[in-house]
Amino acid sequence: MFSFFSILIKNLHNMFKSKFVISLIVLGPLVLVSLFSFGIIGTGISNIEASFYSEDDGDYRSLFITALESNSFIIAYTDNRGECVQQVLNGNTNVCIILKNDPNGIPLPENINDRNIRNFRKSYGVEVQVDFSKQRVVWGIINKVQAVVDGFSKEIQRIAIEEVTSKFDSSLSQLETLEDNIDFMKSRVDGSKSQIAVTSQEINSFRTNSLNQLNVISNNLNLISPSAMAVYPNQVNEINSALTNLNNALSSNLGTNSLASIESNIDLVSNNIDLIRSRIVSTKDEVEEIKDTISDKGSLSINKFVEPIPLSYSSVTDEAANLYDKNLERSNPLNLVDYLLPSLLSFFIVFTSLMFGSSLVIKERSSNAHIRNYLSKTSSTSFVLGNLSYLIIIIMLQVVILLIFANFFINSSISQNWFSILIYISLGVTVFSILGMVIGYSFNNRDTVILSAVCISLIFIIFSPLINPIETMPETLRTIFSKSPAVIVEQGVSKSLFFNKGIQSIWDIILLPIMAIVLFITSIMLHKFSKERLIKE
Amino acid sequence: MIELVNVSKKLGGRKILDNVSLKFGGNDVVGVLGPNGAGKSVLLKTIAGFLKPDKGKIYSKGEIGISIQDNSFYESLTVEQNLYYFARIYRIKEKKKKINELLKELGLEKFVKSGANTLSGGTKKKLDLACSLLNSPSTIILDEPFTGLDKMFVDELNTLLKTIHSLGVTIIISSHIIPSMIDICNRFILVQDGEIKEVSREEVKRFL
Repeated sequence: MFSFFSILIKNLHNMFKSKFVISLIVLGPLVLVSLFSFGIIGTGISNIEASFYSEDDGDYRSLFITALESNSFIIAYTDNRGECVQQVLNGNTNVCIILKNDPNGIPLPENINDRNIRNFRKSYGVEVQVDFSKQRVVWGIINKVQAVVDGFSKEIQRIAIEEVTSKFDSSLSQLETLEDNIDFMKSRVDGSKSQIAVTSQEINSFRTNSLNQLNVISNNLNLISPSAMAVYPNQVNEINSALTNLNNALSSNLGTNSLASIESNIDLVSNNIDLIRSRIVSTKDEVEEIKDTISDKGSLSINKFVEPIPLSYSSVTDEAANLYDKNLERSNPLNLVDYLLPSLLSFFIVFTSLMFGSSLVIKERSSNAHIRNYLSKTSSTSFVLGNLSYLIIIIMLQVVILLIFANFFINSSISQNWFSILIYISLGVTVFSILGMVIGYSFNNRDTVILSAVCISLIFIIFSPLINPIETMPETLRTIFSKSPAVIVEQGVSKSLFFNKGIQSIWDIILLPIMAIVLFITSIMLHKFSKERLIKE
Repeated sequence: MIELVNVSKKLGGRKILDNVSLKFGGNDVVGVLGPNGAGKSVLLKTIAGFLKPDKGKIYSKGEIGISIQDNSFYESLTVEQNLYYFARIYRIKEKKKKINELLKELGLEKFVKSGANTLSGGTKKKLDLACSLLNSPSTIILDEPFTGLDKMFVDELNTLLKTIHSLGVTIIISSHIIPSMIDICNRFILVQDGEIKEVSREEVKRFL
């Protein structure tokens, strides 16, 4: 019943024979967890490389850039929208941020009497073009941009409201002066009207009084006329004649008309003064209304002047259609499965190649036939090359089956980009297969080989874009893992699948063949070394 | 022809071979005797040139074939596939002819398409010998060839070794199963307590 205990003890004895296995069992998870925790320190996305284009050349552009930089964005400036997107497609940046002007924005009017002050609008828009294939970071990046935009929006609102408030304060003071002037004009107009009324009354009174006085004078003359005539006949006659003329003049139609004309003109002036007055009153009312509005600015909504900046985001994949190939425009948008495919391929290649490569070598080395292989004249290079070719053929066959099957249910076009996809995949398979072989040649114990292969696979998978994107890593790890063959393959396949962007230059893939050559030479040396070791044993 | 001149070898601080001088060749069928751990395998590996001596020289002429205790072929392949594989990596010319000859000489013709893992212990040993003979060696070293074989297969193997010997191949056999060796060997070397000495058939019979 307790025979299982013997089996357990036997297995433990076997395991404890190799110090390396023991250290691997203990240190393997420790190294993994250390790397993982070091890799995700802060967990936030930092040092996001962003290409930037602004339609606005004013102060707000630099304000926005400052906001981005203070939120750990590393900015690459571009001159136009296309260049901005291109940077993302080339893999130089993670996101393209475009600061857009609001075409409906209305500048703050200089003239405070301009009623357009109520229409003043200052607004921007921010557009984000992001690579949605980087699923683990895409929302983090968008959130980070959103946080910057929110801050920027508030800052613009604050500046704009300060601008408006300052303008209103200055305008209020001008309006108060204007109101005083209007009041003064009104009082002067009222005074003028009173004077005109008095003048009109005085003219009428003057005419009546003058006629009465002439009558009195005429009557008095008539009383003194007999005696005066005797002494001063000529003068009396002249006086009578003059009085008659004067009386005639005052009583004549001409005189009446002249006075009436004067009165009419006075009325006209009076009416005009009334009109002016009413206009002055109306203007005053308007000024008071504006003044009241301005005085009540505290109740004005900020949003009336500066709208919160909207953030729109879209996949750079769609933009790639405009840049490269109109045929890339898809009837169906890319979905999660599409975006997962490069990661799935990368995982498959890493895991299968490492496990298959290492187990093939350790199986070969533990085979009795191996001694005969070593004793033959066939070189280590031939053995390594033979095994490698076998691994590449088998794994590539699996990958091709996977791709053919995937082509039926994903929206990305594999067939259009098969060449660059196969180049990336075959180089990835080669690198990881040789790495698996190196692991196989490095250790004698089968357990050690399997454990090492699993640990190394896990490191590559954990630090792949799907699980722990390099964008989230500290600088040192980011530099190291950006050169990871798994990352290069995953990003290369993504670019080919989603952007229709094949291998642009040899520099896109150069690291993979270099790694393959270095690992190939290493595995030849290890093969020779293991041959010598086996013979001695 | 293989000659060891004043050869010494230490392993793990223990002196295994001490100033050994031996010469094999021609019609020799040499039996290397000795208890387990005496150093028989070290001597054979040194003769084969796998281990470099600490002192002394080894001279050899012609190819050396090796057949170790555990059969050295791929269990998952057929007899034919194994022979063709090793013929290729030994870079044998006229593979087909050589393989057909061996199949006939070793009586493996009817097993050509059989999987190696389906063969009996004796037939497996024959296949292993066939693999060792592919490069037409002038000397063949057999390390514990009789282990795990029943009497009938031991006799059959001895008959085969005689056939191989008749082709002019020098045979060096290491085994602790002395009766199996007495019939076939014409020279005997005893490895014991770090010493190596040539003994007569009569002396060997005394160990029985």
